[in-house]
Amino acid sequence: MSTAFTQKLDPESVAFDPPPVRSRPAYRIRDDAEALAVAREVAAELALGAVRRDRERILPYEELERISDTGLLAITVPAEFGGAGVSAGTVARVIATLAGADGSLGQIPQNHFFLLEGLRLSGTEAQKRFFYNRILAGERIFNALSERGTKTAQDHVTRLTRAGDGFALNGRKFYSTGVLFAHWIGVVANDDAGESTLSFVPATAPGVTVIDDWTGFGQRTTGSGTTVLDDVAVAPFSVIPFKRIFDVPTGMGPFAQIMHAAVEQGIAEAALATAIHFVRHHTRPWKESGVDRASDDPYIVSAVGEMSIRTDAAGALLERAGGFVDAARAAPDEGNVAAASVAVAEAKVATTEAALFASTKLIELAGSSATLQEHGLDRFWRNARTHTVHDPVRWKYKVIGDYWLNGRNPPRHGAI
Amino acid sequence: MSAAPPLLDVRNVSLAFKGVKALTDLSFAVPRGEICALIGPNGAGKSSLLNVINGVYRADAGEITIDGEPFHRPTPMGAARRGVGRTFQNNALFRRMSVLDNVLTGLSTATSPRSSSATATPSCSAPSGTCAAMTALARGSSTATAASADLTFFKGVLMPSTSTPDFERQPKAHRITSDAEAIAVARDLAAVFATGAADRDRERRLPVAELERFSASGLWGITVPKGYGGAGVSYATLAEVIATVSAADPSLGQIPQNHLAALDAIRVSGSEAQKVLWFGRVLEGDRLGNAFSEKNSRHVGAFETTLRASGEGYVVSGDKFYATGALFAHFVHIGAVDEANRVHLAIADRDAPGLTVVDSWSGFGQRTTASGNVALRDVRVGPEAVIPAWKGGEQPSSNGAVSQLIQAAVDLGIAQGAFAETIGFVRTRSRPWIDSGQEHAFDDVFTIHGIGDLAVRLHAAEAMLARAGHAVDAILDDPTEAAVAETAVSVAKAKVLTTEIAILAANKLHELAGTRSVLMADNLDRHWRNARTHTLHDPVRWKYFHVGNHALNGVAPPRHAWS
Repeated sequence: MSTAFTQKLDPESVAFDPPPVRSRPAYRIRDDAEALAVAREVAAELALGAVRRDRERILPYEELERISDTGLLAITVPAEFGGAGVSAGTVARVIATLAGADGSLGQIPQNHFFLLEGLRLSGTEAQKRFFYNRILAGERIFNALSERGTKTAQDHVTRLTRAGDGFALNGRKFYSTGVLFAHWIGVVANDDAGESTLSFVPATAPGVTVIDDWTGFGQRTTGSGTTVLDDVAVAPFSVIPFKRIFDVPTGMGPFAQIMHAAVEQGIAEAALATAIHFVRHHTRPWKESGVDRASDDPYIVSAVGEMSIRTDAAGALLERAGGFVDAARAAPDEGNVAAASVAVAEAKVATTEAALFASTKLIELAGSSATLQEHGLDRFWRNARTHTVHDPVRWKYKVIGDYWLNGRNPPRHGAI
Repeated sequence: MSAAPPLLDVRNVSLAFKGVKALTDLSFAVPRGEICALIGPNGAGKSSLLNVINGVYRADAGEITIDGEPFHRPTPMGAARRGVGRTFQNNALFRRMSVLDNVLTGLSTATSPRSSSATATPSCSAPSGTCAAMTALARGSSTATAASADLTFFKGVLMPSTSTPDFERQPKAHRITSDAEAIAVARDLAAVFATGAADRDRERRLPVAELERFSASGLWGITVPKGYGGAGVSYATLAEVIATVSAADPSLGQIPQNHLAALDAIRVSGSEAQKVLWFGRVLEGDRLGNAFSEKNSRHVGAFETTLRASGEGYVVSGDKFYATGALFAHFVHIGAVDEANRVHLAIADRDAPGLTVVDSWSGFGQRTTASGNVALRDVRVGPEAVIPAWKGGEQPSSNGAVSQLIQAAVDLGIAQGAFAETIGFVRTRSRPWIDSGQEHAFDDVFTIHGIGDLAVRLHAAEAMLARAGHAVDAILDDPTEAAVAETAVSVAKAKVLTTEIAILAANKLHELAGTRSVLMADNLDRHWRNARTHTLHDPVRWKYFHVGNHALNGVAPPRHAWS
């Protein structure tokens, strides 16, 4: 949003008529340790229905309500607004834990936290107070960012235009992860001056239509759909200046990316755990091994070792990257934002590899019976392959290499 | 006079250098079958005489007869043809050849070797008593059989590049007090050690001065617990210190490995008095070098070296190989088994009678680790010097993990060194590839991608090693069975990753830097040679297994120094 607009329009002076607040009570998580413990607990519960949800593509409405109830979706709300203000590493670990239970459930909160980070960086005091309260109540905000048919994934044709005392939104957004479960939709659009803006629009606002049309072979129940915006009235209070998030160095890009890497990490860890379980309980020993149990086959043992090493290596990089992201979030400058982007990109490469490796190796070790539909073991690979194409790692290597070899900083956008 | 002429007859020989008389009217004869030794103080003319007999110098006056034939127009080659060989003390030894082969060189160059050589005065640096045996062998005499028994030990022994230089026997070390200081000191030292690392490797010049500086810095005492006056740093810090030094020169990084492992053995299994004694010495600057591995025992964990009670103390006997650091140690800690076949560490003075360290390491990598043979012939040690190290393996302890963590840190350092070398080379010396369309090699998209891949793997190894270091910290005071197993798994994971990146980075260095990176002048192959050599200490194929067995079957990794 251009400076001209913010000067002319006092957000508080224009009518802002939000929908009623979410009614179910949401727990208030106090700190990082509690966030991790709650995530583990709820993940164990949510894992139970994951195979069926994937197979039958049952959208996890109730599961998301459950996650909202636990307070996990409010953990990034800063302490001064009543939240736990957890570290990036904790956010990543929470997402990995959820993704381990269900890849889709791990991915859904990603852009919720991303949009909240945008609010933290660019929102006014009043906007923060209002939206953080909604989030602490368990409300969810999901994105309408990507568009199809534009030259690159970062171009937008959706428009935010002046209309009376406020604005009107028009456009069509695809791959809107989680939008089906949203209380609020974060819409990125260009304003009259051609600058990027972010509006938090109630999902129930007139003119908003959400279409469940995601047909990917993996991450099937992310509730990603198409968002149609037809002359949606937007109060100025809902508009957050977005462009400046990338005009000056901020931790936004690496923060967004570490959560993607965390989804893959969760998938890798779950594939490993599933391989261990399956080999121990179902796999028959191979004839030439001469052992009674598949779990005593030295090659299987060793392969599980390799899965564990690759997975933990990625996990260690993810943890390491968390430290860099927090440094960049705390006091962003050119140098620490670049370092964070690179550290996260390194984690992303490793989690991508680990997820694809573990999910493939799982099937090899488990054996032919593992391919039976009822086990749903292919979901790990389908989820990993689908999620890891979000932003291709081949260009991560380039960014990382350029940084270490040539001292060149990565570009600043939400995908690095 | 029907007696056979002397094999060597020197008559009235004189030699002077511009007025300085080296030899004056010297005469003597060596009969066949006799060994003649020539002794004298510096400057007495011993070398000059040998050079005359050997044909290097021509005498100003006098006559030499070899096996009855006058030696006119002497040249070294002519002398060799008559069976006269000469072995030099230090600056003309054939490196990479054994002591025996050096001795025998004089014979091998003769076109028709005589049955004996007239004089052979091998000024070897081998333990006394063996020179005669070598001479006998050199003469091809059948009477040498008995004497050569001792020589078998030296058959594979390589000549040192110089005689073992002296080192400070009463060191004084700085006292490091914090983790941050340890890391800062390591970085400063690494900058110094990096200079000359390539030359030391090429010439196999043992890093005595560097080693003195290294231990004097206080870094060899940083794991001594605070209660004993040390800094008691985190093992993550120790791993970083070792990696930092190894990145500059991995031989230097490896040398304290066993010293540090021994400190943990003392911490776990030593008596209070032993801790006070040995931690105190180490903080003063004393270095421990190991005599642990044996070449011919059934496997790495089996020992034939014995520890037997004798009088007030003990005697230790055996033969050790791969004894890293022993050459320049103040004390040598010896793995030895008692009557009950339990392994102890017997810490002997480096100069103790019966203890001989020979610089015999001939590996193609980690060339200057001062590794070698240690011969132990009834070496006496007092009770204060015998640590019941077996306890650290019988009960769960940090011993194995500490040992492995340091190993992995050396490999990480090698990887860091190779990675930095690659960047430096590609930035400044590599040409762009023809198809890249770039002005500079560093703008080649595939080179950039390749560096990116290395960075990911390198940092994963670093992160895993740091994790493992913190895991070790947690079991120092509370080594529960489960936590020790978890830690061993964590360290094993780091070991796999550091091994892989060390070898990969050392290989990719050349691929990305190009053909000019293989020129001998740069000696860049040392990174791969070092990586390949050091990573063999314990093969990673079994790490995958132990990690997998723990994850899959809940089986704890074995408790020994190689896991």
